[in-house]
Amino acid sequence: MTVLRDDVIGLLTASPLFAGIGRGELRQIADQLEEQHYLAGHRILTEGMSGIEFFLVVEGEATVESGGRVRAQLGPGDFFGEVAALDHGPRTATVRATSALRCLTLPNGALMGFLLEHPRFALAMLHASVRRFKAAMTSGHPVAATGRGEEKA
Amino acid sequence: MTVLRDDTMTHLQRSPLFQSIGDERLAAMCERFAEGVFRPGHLVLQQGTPGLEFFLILEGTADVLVNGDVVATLGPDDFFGEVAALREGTHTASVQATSQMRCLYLPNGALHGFLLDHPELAVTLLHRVVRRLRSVVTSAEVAALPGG
Repeated sequence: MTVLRDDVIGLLTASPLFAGIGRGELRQIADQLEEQHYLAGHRILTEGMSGIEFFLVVEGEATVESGGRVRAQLGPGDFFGEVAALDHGPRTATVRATSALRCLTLPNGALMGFLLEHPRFALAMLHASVRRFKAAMTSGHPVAATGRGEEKA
Repeated sequence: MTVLRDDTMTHLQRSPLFQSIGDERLAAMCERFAEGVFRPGHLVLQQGTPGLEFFLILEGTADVLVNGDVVATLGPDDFFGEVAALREGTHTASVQATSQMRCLYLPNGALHGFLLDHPELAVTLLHRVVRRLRSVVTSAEVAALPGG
């Protein structure tokens, strides 16, 4: 059992990912999350490595790097780790704390069940992932245009 | 009120997208979809344009084109139109039928509400969108945004 700081519910309420979720359900969600703190400079995820933990940033900043370049900045309300947490493939990017970073995490393999239990969160994640997909598609690199309709499930 | 062909339910029962959904709920879902048939060559979606319909292919095939180049092909059980249907902007690609193509579609902007009613499908779509994201990010190494 993890002890979360008293402010977790408030932090969740402030995140668009949890919009429309009632206080009772938020309390359940807070119970399912664990808390992790990282020092500035700490590498939390490494591109190409395995790992299926899912992260929500609640305080601090981090960078997303792939292919040796910084691709994005993360701050409070952002999430990361979802691709590998959902498809169990290698990490697609390296995430590094650029300040003291406080995250809420879902432990290994818990994301799938969590999404089914909290449909509003699943839908918010879908919206956010579609935005990320669109951004990756339109970021200019011609090869990025692998719009990949779909592999067969 | 849309009339669906008798075999629509059978198609959905066979589809991996709907495999976790029981028959009773599938029947309820069927009522929300409309059905359309496109001729070969028909441009169903155009890159850069808005549009709020979400399409699921039952029969036939289509090309996905970005800036005029074919980047993927779609067939039965594939879906398209989700970016604009979720009101996240204009279509990221064009979709052109390459054979007679039969689709189910959710009309204007109904996808979000549909997914709230059928969260299992939201989770399945999330999986597929994440898979698309991985393929874009790893093929180009240009993740404009995090994927992790």
